[in-house]
Amino acid sequence: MPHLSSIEKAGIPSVFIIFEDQDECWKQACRLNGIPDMRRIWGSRHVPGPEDVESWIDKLLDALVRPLTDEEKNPPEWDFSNPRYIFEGTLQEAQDFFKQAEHIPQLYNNASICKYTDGLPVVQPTEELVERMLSGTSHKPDEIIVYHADHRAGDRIEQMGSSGKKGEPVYFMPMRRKATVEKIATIGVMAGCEPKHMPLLLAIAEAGGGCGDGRGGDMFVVSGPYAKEIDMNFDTNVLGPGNQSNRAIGRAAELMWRNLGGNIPNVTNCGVWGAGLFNCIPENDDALPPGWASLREEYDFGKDESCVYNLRIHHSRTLQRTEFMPGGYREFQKSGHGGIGRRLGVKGIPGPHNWMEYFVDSLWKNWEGGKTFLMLPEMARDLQLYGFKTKDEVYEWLYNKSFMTVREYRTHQRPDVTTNAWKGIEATSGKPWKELDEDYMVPAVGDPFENCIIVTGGGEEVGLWTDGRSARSDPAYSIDAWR
Amino acid sequence: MHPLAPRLDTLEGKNITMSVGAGGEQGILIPLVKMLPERFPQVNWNISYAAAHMTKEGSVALSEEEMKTTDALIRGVVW
Repeated sequence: MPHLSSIEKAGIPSVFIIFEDQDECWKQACRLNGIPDMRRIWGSRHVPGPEDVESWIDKLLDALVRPLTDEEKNPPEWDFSNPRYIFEGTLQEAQDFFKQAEHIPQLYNNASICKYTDGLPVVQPTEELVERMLSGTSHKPDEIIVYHADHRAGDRIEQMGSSGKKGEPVYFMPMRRKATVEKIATIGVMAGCEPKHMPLLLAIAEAGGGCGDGRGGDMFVVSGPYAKEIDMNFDTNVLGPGNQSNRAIGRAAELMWRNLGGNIPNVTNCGVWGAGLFNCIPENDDALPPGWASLREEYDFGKDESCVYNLRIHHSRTLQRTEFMPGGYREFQKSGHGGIGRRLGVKGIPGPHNWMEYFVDSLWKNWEGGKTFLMLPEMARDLQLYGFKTKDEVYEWLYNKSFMTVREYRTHQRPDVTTNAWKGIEATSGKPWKELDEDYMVPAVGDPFENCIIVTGGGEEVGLWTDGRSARSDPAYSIDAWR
Repeated sequence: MHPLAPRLDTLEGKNITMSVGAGGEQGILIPLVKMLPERFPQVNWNISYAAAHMTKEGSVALSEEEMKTTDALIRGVVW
C-alpha cells in the first residue's frame, strides 16, 4: 500500500481490483497512508473470470476518467491518535467500561468485539496500580517507545513505516500508533502483570507489541537470566495456563495489539483465523546441549544479557507437531525398534539417531521457508549426541534437505507469487526460472538461518514446529535496556 | 491527507499500465489482459507483472522508469 499510494500521490490516477469483503481494510489502509479511498472495483470470488471481468471492465476504465468528488479532492484529516484517558467512577463502573464491545457490521454475523480487551475481564488500571507498575522500570512514564538499537524489523513492518532505527519511534499496527511507557504499564496492569515484568513488557513493545504487521498473533520468547528472575515456567506445560509470567505477559502483548494497534477484525485487520492466546515462553537455558547457542547468542547478545525474541507466527499460522508417538520415539532411540527405525533403515541399531529424518521430507510439502522448532531438552540432546555439535549444523542440514527439483517446485503454490510468476531470477543459479532445467535442484529454504531451534519445555517426546524466521530480520530485543 | 490524482480527460492515446498481480487470481487477470486492448483500442496498453507483497522478486507495480511514461495505472491486487 505505501507504494501504491505513492503512485497516486505522484499524480498518476489509479484503479484497483479487490474483493468486496476486504473493502473496509482497503479504506483503512488508504487512510493510514495519507490518502482518501483509492478507487477500486470488486472482483468476484466465485464467478468465472471472463464472465466476471465482463461485468465490471467498463467501470474499471470509468474510474480513471470520472471526475473527482469534492472529498477525493479535499479529503478531511483523519484522527487516529490514541489519547490518554482518565476514567472516574466506581469499580463496577470501571469494569463495565472495560467490558464495552461494539458490533462489527463488516463481520458476516455482525458479532461484537471488545473495545479494550481480549474478551476476558481485566484488572482495573487505577492510577495507583499503574504507578506501582511504573516502579518496575527506570524509564519515565511519558517516554515514547523507541528502538534502543538498530533492528531489521522485517520487510512488511518497514513497509508500514517503522524504520527499526535506533531512537526512532515504534509504530503499533494496524493503526500505526505510537505509545508511551505509561500506556505499556497500563496494559500490563490490565493483563495481570507485576512491576517486575515491566522491562520485558517494554522490550515487547519495542518489538511492536503483539501486533506484527497488523495481523497480530506474535509470540515472544525470553532468552537469558531474566526468565528466572520473574519465575517463568520453562518445563512441562510451558504453553499452558498456570504460570503468571508466561500467561500474563503473552496476554499483555495481545492487549497491545487491541489497544495500541487498534485491531478490529475485518475492519483494520485483514487476517483470517486470528491466533489463539499464546504464552510468552522462556528458553530453557539449563538444558541447552553442549555447544548449542542460546537464542540471545544467536543474535549477538552476551550470555549474561537477556532479550526477547519475536517469533512471528501471526495470521493463520500455528504450531504443528512432529509425526510420532512418544513411546515409539523412545524405542527408536533406545533400540532402533518400531516404525521410525524401519523408515530410517536403522532397525535394531541403538541410537542416538537423527529423529528429524523421519518427517523432514514433509516439512516443505505445502509451504516453503525455514522452520522454527520448539524442542524439548531430551530431543535436542539426542540431536547433539547424534552428531550436530551446534545449532548451525542442524540449520545447514535442514537447508540441504529442502532442495527439490524445479519440476516439483513448480507444483507448489506460493512460488507463483515469490518468483514473480516465474519471471524472476532463481537465487542459487542466478538464472531466470524459465531457463532452468526441470531436474535442477532448488532449495525451499532461502538461507540456513531461516531455521530456528528454541529449546524449551519438558515431558514426553513431542516436538513442535512452525514457520521459520527471516534471515534478514533481527527480531531480538534487549530486556536489560528497559530496566 | 493527500488528494487523489486528477483523472484523465480522455482515454484516447493515453499510456495506461495494467499491472498484473503475479501469483493468484489469474482467472480474472488473464481474461482482463486480453479484453482491455480489444475493448479499449484507443489506449496504449503496457502490461506488466509484479508479485503481491512478501515476494522476493520485487513487488513494484510501476518502476521509476514506468512512472515517467505512464498516464494511469490499473492494478490487479492479489494476495
